[in-house]
Amino acid sequence: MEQLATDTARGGDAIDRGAPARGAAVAFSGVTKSYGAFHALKDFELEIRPGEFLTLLGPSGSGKTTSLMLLAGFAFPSRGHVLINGRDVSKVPSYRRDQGIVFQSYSLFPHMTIEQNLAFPLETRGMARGDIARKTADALTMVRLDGFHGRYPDQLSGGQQQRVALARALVADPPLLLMDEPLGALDKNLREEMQLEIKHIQESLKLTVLYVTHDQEEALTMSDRIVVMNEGRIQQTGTPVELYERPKTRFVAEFVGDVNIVPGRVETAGARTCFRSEDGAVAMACPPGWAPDGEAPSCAAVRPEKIAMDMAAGPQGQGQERGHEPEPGRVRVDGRIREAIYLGQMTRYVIDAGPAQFVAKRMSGPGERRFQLHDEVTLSWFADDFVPLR
Amino acid sequence: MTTAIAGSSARGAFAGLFQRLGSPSASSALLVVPAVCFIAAFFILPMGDLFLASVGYPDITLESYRQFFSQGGYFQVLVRTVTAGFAVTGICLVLGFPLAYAIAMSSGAWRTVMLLLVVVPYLTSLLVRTYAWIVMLGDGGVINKTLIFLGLTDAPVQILYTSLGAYIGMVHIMLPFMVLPILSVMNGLDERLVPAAKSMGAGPVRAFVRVFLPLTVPGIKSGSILVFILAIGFYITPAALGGLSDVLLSQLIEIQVSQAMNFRLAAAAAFVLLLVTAGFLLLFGADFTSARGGLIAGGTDRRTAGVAAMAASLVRKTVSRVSASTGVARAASGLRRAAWRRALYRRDPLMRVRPGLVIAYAAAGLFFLILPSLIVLVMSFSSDPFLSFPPSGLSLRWYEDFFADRSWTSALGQSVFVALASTALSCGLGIMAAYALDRHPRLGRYMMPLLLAPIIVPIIVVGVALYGGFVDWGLIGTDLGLILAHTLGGISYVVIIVCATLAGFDRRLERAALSMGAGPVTTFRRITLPLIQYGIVAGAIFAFIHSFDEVVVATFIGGFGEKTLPMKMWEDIRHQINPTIAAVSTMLLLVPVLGLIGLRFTADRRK
Repeated sequence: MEQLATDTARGGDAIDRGAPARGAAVAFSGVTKSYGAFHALKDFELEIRPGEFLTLLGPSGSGKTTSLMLLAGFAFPSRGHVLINGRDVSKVPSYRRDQGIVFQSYSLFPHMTIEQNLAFPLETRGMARGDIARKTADALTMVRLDGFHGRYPDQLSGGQQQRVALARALVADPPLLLMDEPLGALDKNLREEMQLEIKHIQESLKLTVLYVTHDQEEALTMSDRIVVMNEGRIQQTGTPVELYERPKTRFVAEFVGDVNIVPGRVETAGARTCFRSEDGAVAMACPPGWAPDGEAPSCAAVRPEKIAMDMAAGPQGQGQERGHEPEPGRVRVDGRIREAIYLGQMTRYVIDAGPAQFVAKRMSGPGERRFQLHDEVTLSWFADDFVPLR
Repeated sequence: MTTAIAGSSARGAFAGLFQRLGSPSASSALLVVPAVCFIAAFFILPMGDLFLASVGYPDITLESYRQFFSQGGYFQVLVRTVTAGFAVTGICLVLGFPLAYAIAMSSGAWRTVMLLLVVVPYLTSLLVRTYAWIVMLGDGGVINKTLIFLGLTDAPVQILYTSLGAYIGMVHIMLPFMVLPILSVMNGLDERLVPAAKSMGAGPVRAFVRVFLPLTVPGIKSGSILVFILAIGFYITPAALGGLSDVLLSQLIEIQVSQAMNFRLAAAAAFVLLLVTAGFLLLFGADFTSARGGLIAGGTDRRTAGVAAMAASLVRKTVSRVSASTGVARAASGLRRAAWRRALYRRDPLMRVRPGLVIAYAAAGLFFLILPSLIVLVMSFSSDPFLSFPPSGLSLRWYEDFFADRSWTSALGQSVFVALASTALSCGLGIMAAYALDRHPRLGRYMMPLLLAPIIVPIIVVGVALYGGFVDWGLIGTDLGLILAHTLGGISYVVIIVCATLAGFDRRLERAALSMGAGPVTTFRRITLPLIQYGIVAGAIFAFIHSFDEVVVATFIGGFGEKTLPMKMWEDIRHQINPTIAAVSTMLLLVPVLGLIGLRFTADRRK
């Protein structure tokens, strides 16, 4: 049985403290959330391990914010259960859950000083005044804002407000930290700095974090695991490497990073299976187990940085067969450079290969050859890097 | 043990009230009920009775209406009233638009001063301003003395008690009601639009006519509707300044009630006036239904809420001590704004054409607005036993007379008592209603017109209706009757201002507090209340001023009871022009000043 913290003479509202103070375990079990006929979340199943940094990634309307709202206690599931440390909190209102939340707009109380803002979650938990002063000072130190305690939120910059919001979410040592696109209002440099800072704090405190964002780079940077969502459903769950290197659906491949999609299908000719694109320009001998039975891929994908480029061998002229015969382990395509955009650390090429277009990225490494507009090139990549997608 | 359980179950029940923040539970909608019941009982019912009286209840005839339209020149009075309404509106528009423009284009200290010169008259008692004009327009008054001095005439010209006098008074009273809505819209315009038009090749005049002017139309509409409706229902000023042959509809109604004792005819006339008002509103698409930050064409909402906000901000600027950290930022932004305005100033069409003209015009307009009050102020210190300007000597005798005269001091006490009581009641009912409307916007569609009805309906109609209703309930001449009557308008003002405040309140802050373990009650107490208390106090100030200065309804239902200060003033103005009134008027000038200071102190807490 869980112990309810007793109300003190100060009238603190009851907070439920579950198991150990660090890193709650979270589970969504068959959760559906509907608003009338509209389903924001459908059969949502997810487990978050204690101390894990999990990101919900997806476009607007994908249901990621709804999931956070359910976990926070601002909304209740239409069906299914939300569990924290094994306890069903589906109908428990927000102020009875032990958590810290960083909101998109920070929601710092404008009529209170920074110190009063930080003290608030401690006061509601009935902490003694001396302890409150000590903890708020520690929190300010943690986000490197010592000396700011007497200021008001509107006297701080956006980045400083963000740090105060983070400190306020953490000051009461919650086992669970929820973050709803907290870095959206910051400029690029500040955002990257804050991403690392948040990650370090999380690692040292061993907190469970549920992070919501639409920025895939941010998700890749910070997460232990990412859940890609679309239209209320989970598309794929995995580590950043898994999602990037081995996406399972076209949506995930396109949402996380740049990708070249080649529509086509698997053809079987006797003992050999190969994947052929619709326009015939791309053909690959399928490695064993590439396309598991029962799941016919609709396309295959290759990341731009996996594509090697060479000047085309042999004379090219009109009527020349452009396709290459499928060879094991590699895929080759011929094309002509249509765009070459120099980006400093790399060059981005757009290559016309028949009706299709490929994007390739080559780092400006030592000895790297730079191709020019209209060069005839042969693209090649490993079969392992050519991922089948549903 | 049991108390703990009882406490937690009560808390649980209360928690149910706020349980789903995304869709607030129906319980909070019930908060609108007390205010609605109050208005239904003490306003709608009397209005219904009035209507029944007008159709000759218990027999249903249209005799009274027939009487109105066919007999005794009443129809002509109606026509004259509507004509006067249009005339006053037109004059106010012509005079007020350039004034609003001049204020909008100014900045810094000048702007603050100009705003003050518009807002203070707006908040000043109607009686004080009317009295000032009586003094100024008389045969021995300032206007005539100036005309004779300038050699434009040999003998005093009759201005007082003519329609000219009534018009001058009405325009003076109405001018802020035109200027403030237009100014409010102009302030909200994107400053970069006119330069953008110019960058596309529009000359200054064309940019003004095709870009700036059309965007100010909502303000023009607001102001015009407001002024017209107030003008056709206007009672005090035309009655005091106009001649016997220039009677307007409101005066006719009053005569029917008090002298001719023909209540039915008065009721019919009142409803005709109401119909004209309602017709005008419907025709020009006024929308009173939105509670959340809406641009209401009727203007009442924006007038009051906008003025409250403007008044508070301008006082903040005039009085506040600039602190070190914010002072630099404010000065810097002020400089930037001043520089930007200067750039606009330079290229501004009217300014470029004749800068001196616009400045002179603005100065004249503002002088016109504040002059009457200034004259009364000076005269109140006069040692002459009769009204004269300029006074030959200074003395405090009129102030001494006031405080020595029991009838004056008890009137003051009565006014304060009634105002405080009705303000308290208005705030209680109005805040709950505003909260309910904020949480349930769809409720606003039906409730808002009802809650604003007491200040939309012409005051003379309200007076007659309440008179009829309160007679039956024995409330004539009682303190309770006065308090109830003033609470009606008070609720309207409180609802307007608190709704506007709540619309600007970031509800995500409540959510944040809940996430940090604060229950619904704690959240309201520590987060919501401190952040909206500015609006609550502003609403209370407006409700107080409304009650304190209110004279028409008070006169109707006051009977032989204890008089309020405005009632006594009005009586004295009608029957004996006593210089003591000048002293009273000057003291009443303190009311808007105190009100503005009150607004400033509450605004300070809101960071």
